[in-house]
Amino acid sequence: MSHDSSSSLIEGRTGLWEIVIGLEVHAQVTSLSKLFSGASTAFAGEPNAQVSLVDAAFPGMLPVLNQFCVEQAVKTGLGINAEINLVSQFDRKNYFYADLPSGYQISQLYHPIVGQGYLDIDLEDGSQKRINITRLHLEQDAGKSFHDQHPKKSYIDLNRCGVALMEIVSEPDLRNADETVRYLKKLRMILRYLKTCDGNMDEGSMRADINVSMRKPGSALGTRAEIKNVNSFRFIQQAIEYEAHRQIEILEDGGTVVQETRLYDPTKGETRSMRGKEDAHDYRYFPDPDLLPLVLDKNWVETLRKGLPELPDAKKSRFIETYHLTPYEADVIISEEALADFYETGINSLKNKQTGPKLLATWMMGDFFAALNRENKAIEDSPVSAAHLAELVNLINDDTISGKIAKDVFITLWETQKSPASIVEEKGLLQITDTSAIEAVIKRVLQENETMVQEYKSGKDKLFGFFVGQVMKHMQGKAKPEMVNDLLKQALLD
Amino acid sequence: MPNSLLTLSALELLSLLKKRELSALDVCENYISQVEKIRPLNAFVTETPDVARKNAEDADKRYKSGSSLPLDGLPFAHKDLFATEGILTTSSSKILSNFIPPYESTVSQKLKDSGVVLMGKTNMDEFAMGSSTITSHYGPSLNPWVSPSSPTTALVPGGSSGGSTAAVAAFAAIASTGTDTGGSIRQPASYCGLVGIKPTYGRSSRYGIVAFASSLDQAGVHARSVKDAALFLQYMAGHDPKDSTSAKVDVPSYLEAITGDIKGKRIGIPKEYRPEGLSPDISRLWDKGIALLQERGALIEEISLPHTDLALPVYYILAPAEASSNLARYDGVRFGVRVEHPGDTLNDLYEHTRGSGFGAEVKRRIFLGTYVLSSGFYDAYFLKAQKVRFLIAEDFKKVFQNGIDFILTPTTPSGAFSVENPPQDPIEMYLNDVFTVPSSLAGLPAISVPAGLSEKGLPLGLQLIAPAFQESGLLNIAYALEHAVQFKGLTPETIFLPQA
Amino acid sequence: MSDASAVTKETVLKIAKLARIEISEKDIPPLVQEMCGILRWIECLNRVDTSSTPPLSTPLQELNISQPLRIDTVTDGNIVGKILSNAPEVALDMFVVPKVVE
Ligand SMILES: [Mg+2]
Ligand SMILES: [Zn+2]
Repeated sequence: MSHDSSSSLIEGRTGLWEIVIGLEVHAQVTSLSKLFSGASTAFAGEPNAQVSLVDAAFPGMLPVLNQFCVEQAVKTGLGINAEINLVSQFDRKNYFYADLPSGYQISQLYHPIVGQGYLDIDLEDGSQKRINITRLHLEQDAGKSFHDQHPKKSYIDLNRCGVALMEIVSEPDLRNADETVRYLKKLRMILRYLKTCDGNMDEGSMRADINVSMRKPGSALGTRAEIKNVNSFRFIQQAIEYEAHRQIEILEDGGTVVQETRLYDPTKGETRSMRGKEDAHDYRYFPDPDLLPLVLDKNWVETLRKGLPELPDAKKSRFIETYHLTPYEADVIISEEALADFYETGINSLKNKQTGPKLLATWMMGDFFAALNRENKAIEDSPVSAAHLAELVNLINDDTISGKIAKDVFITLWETQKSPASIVEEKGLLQITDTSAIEAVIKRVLQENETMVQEYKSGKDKLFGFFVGQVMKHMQGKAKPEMVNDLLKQALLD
Repeated sequence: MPNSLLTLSALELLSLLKKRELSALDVCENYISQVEKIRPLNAFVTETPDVARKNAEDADKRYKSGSSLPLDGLPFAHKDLFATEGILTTSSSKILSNFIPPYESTVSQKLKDSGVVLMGKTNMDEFAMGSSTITSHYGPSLNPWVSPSSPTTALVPGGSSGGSTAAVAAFAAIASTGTDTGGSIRQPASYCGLVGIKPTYGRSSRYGIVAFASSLDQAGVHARSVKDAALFLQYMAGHDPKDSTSAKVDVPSYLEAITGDIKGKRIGIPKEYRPEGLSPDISRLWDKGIALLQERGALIEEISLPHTDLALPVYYILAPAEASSNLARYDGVRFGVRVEHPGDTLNDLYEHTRGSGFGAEVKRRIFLGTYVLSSGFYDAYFLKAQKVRFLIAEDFKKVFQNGIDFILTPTTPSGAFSVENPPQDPIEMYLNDVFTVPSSLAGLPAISVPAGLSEKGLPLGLQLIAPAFQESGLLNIAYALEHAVQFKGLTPETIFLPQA
Repeated sequence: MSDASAVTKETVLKIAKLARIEISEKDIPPLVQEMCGILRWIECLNRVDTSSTPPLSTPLQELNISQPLRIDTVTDGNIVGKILSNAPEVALDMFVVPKVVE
């Protein structure tokens, strides 16, 4: 068997196989308090400190819905081009588990808050693919069990219990690990733009259940296995690849894939069955009688729609159109809203709106990103402001300094946060554009190298570069390179 | 004259306390003695004399300083499923037999804030599942009434709020809370010769009440008179932001609404409540009630509530289904009794804890509820029942839309039965709620008023049902009926107390 | 509606597992019988046609009362003592249960 992660078909012993992947993404809603209680959602608190009596399911405790979580779900629905259901309902999903105090999770099965939507992903070859989204619903997170404190006991911390999650379910439209990761990255980017989920996978704010099945191209869907709670792009890639091969092997040996829940073990790089979890599963969903139907006001939804930020796709098109960026440059700059904002703040300070934006992008993606990366800094912590970076671009654009000098100016700018103009002035880095000054140096250089001038004139064209270098050297790099070229050519003609 | 003190109504007590002709502590001590005296009735799971004395002393201080609260000094009891902070709250179940809530239910908090004196927590059917108080982990409560023809046969007080009604009927509290899911306030009130009102679903908060069936449970009150019931309901009702199903509907002054004037009120008599074989006792009292209301100017009309006979089956699908989920939290992990054997897995622990912590009736209902929700049966049972529930609610809606103001029915199909020989078949037992369940399913306010005695000399109640949130009118007509009936309740001397 | 007499010993055992309630062998036959009885009794619901009837899951639905909402502020928590005060077994401020194998 062989394949790479972006090809859609896998060659097996019996021919080609197609992977069919659907995702259930659990995204933690950004909110201060929990979905149905007033306890804090902050990450990593003392055990059971962020727990209310409601979260711990004490007798007689009742849920009260968090308005902001509803707003966040609606915003997200709008961000994934989905229909918002003006009437939705919460249901109980009943099952016993150590970290589920009430014995049921409040979720939405029958009438989710958000219906069908989609998002478009960019593929490696530059084409786009639409991934349909089945639904988005609100539900509670469970608590956390710790298994390592005691040889025979598990310890239960309910801090996470009741934190709001959005479960975003995709259609089985994904065909390989690469598409899957692209879908997740796109979804994550949209959530972050909307500020409805921080997308922090390390802290479990976003995790995916991956449904994987195999089929011969063109035939009906095969039996799927669900890989639970995978929380990094790399693991998702690995889990899918492992699972695809596992299933192909079973199928090619004449076996059948069992519909089951599996766990990805990153240390072993394999998926394994969560044994026993299936046999008694019958969730007995029914509408939660402690909660009433959630009715949304149409106008309120429209107000939210109008208030949505510009989303990645729109921003990318606009950047390509307005600033003449390449799709690649646009992708990089819009990948985080903060980067895009930095870029556009810089644009406001540009003097040359024609060539400036493109040059600003080049600078951001070049020396600027390199410096951020080197110091492991986020854009928000950048010592160089957007206005200063734009000023640097302005200095290049109006010939005050050369691109080469600009690199030196940038280093000082990063270190001192002084304005680029003042750095240029202090260091005397002003570009020389005075024809007579350049001509004087050229005259001297040509005099000092008379033999070479003769050689050049007799056809040794390559020596031109040597003369340019000599002139620049005498002028400490401050001469404008194009002028040096032109004047030198003229002088050598004489 | 301690006995006459016990027979004073809440309104009479309040006026004497205000005039400081009585002290709250005096009242309290009298009631504490009575609580002790009626111990053979097993009305209380927990007696709280220390709390009571403290409450009474506080009330006296407030009376002295002229800053008294509206219910200051009135001896009260709570059904043992209202969470009371720092006081054992068991729901009469073994599984909660060690549970001390670190919180207070909204209803008990409101009553506390109004000055009531807590005499104790009353016995009930386990998790409010029953009509007899026999299913309590603490053994049955007994009815203070007994049939003169069979004076040694102990009778059930009804249920599930049987401890609460036994306590009030036996003068161990002036009034008490109950909860009603399918009749659990009205049926025991009827059996014990008390007034019992279940307000509209959403009228009072369910926060801190151990849940049985969330879409039906509603707190209410038992008292020895309609006006006393009105007084206490006043300070229980109202919106609570901690309960999403408590309605934002203003609470009018109930006592002010009680004028006794019911002239021109249209009273519906549903023909479906007079099935073949209805006991002649019940028929007779019902007819008497109709006649009395008519005499006072009410207009009597026959009405039809066509889906009445489906109410019980609907109830016995929906209530167990909700209960099966509500009771999943009793798992021996965070509170309550844990039963664990060496080497138990978590599932073993759950199964042992729940297997031994729940009584037979509770298990039966959890099984039934789990079954009707399980895969393949949801549509056939649960969804079907919810749809028929809609039809039942529509029946009432149509009748009220057609101008009927109240509906008058019997509260129960029979009087109190023997503790020793209760109906053995669950369905026969469930039939006790046949007249109370329909209005519960529709969420309507309903009240049981003592209407007279059966052939056997046992109290029977009539039920009045009103449109949603019309408790004022309901209390007024109940008062008119009470006034017309002139029902003679027990006295402290006529309480049945079994010989030890 | 399904056949109520379909409730068998196996059904009861399956439900006991789902509901996490230990049941002794001798309690099974009466439960089978009672459940059959109740389910048979319930079958009268089939008499009514509900094909165009909406389900009613709470009486407040009839009154068009919809879900109230809470403002997103932290108003609760930091009550570890209360949360753990009734727990049968506690360690390191956490609830303790027999080891859960995933
Ligand atoms: Mg899921
Ligand atoms: Zn989920």
